[in-house]
Amino acid sequence: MKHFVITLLTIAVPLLAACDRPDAPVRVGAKAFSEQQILAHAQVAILASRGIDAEIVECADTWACRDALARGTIDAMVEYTGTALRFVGAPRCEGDAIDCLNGLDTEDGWTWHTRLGFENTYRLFVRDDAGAPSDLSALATSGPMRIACPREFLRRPGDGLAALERRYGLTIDGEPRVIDDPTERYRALLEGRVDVVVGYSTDGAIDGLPLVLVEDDLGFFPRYDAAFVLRDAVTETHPDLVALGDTLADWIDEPLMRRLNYEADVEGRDPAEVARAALVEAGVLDDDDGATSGVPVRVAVDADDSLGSLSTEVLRIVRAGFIGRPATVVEVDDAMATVSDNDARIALVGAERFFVGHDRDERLEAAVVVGERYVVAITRDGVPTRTGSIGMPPAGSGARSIVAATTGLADATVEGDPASLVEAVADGRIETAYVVVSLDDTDVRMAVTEAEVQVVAPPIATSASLAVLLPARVPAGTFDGQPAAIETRAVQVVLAAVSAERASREATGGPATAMHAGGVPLRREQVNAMAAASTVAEAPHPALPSAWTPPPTAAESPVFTLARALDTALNAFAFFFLFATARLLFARRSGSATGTDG
Amino acid sequence: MNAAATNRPSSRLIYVVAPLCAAMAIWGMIAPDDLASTAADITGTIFASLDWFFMGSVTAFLGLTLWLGLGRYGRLRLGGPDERPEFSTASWLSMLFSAGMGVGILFWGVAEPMTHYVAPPIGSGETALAARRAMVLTNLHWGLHAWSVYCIGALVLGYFAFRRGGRWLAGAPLRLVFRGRWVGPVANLADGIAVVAIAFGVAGSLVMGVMQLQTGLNLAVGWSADSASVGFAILVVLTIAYMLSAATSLDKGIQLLSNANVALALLLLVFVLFAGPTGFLLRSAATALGDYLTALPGLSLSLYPYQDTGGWLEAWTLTYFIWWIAWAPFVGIFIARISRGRTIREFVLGVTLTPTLLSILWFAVFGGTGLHAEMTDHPGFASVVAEDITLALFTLYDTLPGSLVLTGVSLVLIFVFLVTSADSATFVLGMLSSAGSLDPPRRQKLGWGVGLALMAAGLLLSRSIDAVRAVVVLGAIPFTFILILQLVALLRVLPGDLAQEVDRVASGPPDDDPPAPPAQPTDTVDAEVTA
Repeated sequence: MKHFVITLLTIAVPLLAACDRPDAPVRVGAKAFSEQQILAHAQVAILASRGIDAEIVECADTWACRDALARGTIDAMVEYTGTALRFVGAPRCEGDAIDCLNGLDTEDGWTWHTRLGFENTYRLFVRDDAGAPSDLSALATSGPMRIACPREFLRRPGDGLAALERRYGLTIDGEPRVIDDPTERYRALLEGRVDVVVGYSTDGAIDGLPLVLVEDDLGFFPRYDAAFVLRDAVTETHPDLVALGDTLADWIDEPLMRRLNYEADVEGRDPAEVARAALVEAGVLDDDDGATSGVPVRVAVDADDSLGSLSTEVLRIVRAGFIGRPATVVEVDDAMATVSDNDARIALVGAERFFVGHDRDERLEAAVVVGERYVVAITRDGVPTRTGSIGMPPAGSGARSIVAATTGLADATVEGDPASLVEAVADGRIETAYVVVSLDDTDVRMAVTEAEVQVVAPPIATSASLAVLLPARVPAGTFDGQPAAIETRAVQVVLAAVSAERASREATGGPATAMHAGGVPLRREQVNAMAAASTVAEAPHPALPSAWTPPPTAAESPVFTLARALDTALNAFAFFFLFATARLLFARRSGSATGTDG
Repeated sequence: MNAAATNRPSSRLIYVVAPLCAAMAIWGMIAPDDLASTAADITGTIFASLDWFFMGSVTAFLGLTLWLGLGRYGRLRLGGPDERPEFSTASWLSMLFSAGMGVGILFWGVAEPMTHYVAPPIGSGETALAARRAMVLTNLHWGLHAWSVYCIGALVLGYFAFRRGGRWLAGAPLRLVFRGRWVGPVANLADGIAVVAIAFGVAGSLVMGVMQLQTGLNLAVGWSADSASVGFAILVVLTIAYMLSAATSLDKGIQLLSNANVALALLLLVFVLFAGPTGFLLRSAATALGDYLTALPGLSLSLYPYQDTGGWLEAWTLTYFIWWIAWAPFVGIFIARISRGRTIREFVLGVTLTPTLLSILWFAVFGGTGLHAEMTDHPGFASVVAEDITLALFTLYDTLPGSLVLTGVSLVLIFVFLVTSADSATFVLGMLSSAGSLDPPRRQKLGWGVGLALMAAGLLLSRSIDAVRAVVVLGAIPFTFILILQLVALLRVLPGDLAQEVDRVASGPPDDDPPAPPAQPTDTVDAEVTA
């Protein structure tokens, strides 16, 4: 609470003090999703290029942003016409929405300006199966459905979920799942955890996915044209700001916005950088100031390791170590080999991967801890069985070896990812599932909530065969259906890379190895920067090889070895050669007396 | 002992060398990692033990080169006393520059200074001092040392061939000067090592060039950077081009291409100089020249015995030096061939100083632009370079206007450099396999052209550049000893030749002499030296 108050004061005090002075920075509002961040960065970049100081002020959602505009803590933002109309009670509006809004809102102290050229409306999607409903009326007749949507959609006045249900007569099965991350939301649909998702028409994640758009055949949603909103007080002190809107009128259409969102959400690029690149492309900004190199840092992750939920967090951490570079996660068969082969710079792996599974490159080492995964048992009755039908992670995955080492169990009846195993328990196909989960993995938590199963401690084998298991406790109530705190084992999730120390010992530098498939080590400063950015403030487990923790002292080498003998022999040979050469050079020539041919 | 018996080069050379090449190529194709690690172990051990010897040898080459050029022997000519150069000086300089460095300078121009800036052998990286030292180290690797190795290799061969009728074989000077039972085998070994080094060196260079072309085409027109079929397509086009060039004979083909290419490279240099931070680049060129000349004596023999540089010296400096030695038989023959009629002084100054100055400017401009980007407004550049060297040049272009044109020009440059290298290689290999003939039959050249293409295709298939590099280095290590022996042979004959020259000038006008004698029978040049 105290922290909150201090934050409020630090934001509010300078704002109030600086309010409306011509030299005060223009504050650009941004809601908490990529599109808004990109657009806010674009506005700041343009203002900066014209010598106007500007900064971004985050406002969590539409309510907070409207409030901030009204109170004057932000001066400019991009808002959507349909959203604004609903927030003022959806008055009947003939003609242009912007004119309507400007007609209504004058007493609030802000004015709508130019449209940007794209609309960001709500869209409903289903999987691309045979018989997928083509419009919402058809969807309503197909029975109860599980739905996932962004948080704001639950409580929007007039154009939110409740209104949509009423308008079309939809029946929602259970509670709607709230998933704000667009990539995660569509994944939930594709993996069959929900039947319908509510997304945005500019979501970058939707391109290329097997989704079907469900048409809004009754015209429930209004138009949501993106447009500039400027506070009137600030247009008086900064008349140029209106011109800013004109610069950007119609510069961005829906496919472009979708591509920019894709770059930010899926490729993990920095929104500021995405905005800048787009402005350069549009010819609004010059190419040469502050653009960064577009080659992304690749982070490899094993496709069967179920670490995908960490992606966004990991990209943030990696960017901290590679200032000026975008980052991207790639799914591969063997993450560590990919790094050894220099096809990726960093591997996102569970610590167990250093000991089990693929052949390990000795030069790969743990750099930064980015998360932890816990072994828990999923049961219907709260009593985990060691015999009978058991579910475990897929054979060959890191998670499987963790479960095997923790519980001492070898064979599984059913194999799968955690969410599918939870379902298998709920269905009665198996009695107990042993899964390895990250506590912030929303997929699993949601699956547990929905399946009404119990999460309990697994049986722990007395002799654990895996060096990286850590004793751990999952506090009671972490999962729905978790009766008590769970004493279990946890394993770190780390970023692994080629070790600088070991790499240099094998002379991976040098021109001969320039195209070498040996991997490029991280520098210590990069590791430190990433460790600072990670939310897990822990060093890698001592059992993990890591040159970034103090290396063990080398054993004393014997005085005389074969290598020493070889060394001496080679040097003796070189001496002999030089001696012989000198003799050749300075030998008296016996024929020189004649002097004719010499 | 019958002197003639020891002096004849073995005609069976090709029967030893060809299977050896094939065996290495097959080993490289089947188990590239195995070959690379075996060869790397051997070279690693030798480098670690004898670093002083190789460093000292190359530095001694530099010292002797300068002494030969500036000293009294400088007036001796490669050829008869009245011969005059075949090619104009400008054309000669561009031919030797393009043969000696070519692709490498495009490949490393941006990447090498950046690499040393991030990870210097001593001191901490990414500081102003590291940037300054990076330039010095790069120039150490590409400057006078490199060219003096070529210079010695070329001088020895050219001198013996043009003045004493020696064959164009690495063993020829040894056969002409030394006597003893050891001479025959060692000379034959020298001939063999030279052919292996050339064949593998050029095939490896072709593959490296193809990879860079592929990266560039990927960035420019979006063709796959990994696909083997794109690589093969590039190789086929390249092969057709250099075979055509080889078929039109050395003089017309190479001269035309080299001149055009060096002109294009200079144009690129000038463009980057003026499109980039011009003042900064010129300051950095001047500073680099000064730092290089100041640091040269110390760095030339600097082996870091008191610091743990983690094998830096072996990985960089020694590897470069040994590369130059590996290329010396090839580049040496080529340079000698185009230098007939020049005096030793002209030759030494032309072959060492001019290319060195040009390469200092080149690295200052390209490396300097890269460093400027990394140190000011494009951080992140260095880490891209660390991950993929082939990207360095093209990523740099992104920071300049007209990047697509620059990329296109660079691709053309790389292509033509490769064509001229491969063209010269077919010539040199054809010469070596036709008992040192200066005008090898076209059939021989084209045969080697196809052979090189097949070896390159095999290496491309294995996609391991390490294997071929390791073999090149392995061949070059013994060649160091041979180069020293060649140099000793040269030093033994110079005093006598100078005395003869002085006599000739004193005895009468030059037109009394028969023009350009292909020298006397050489058996009597030197007396028997028993080692």
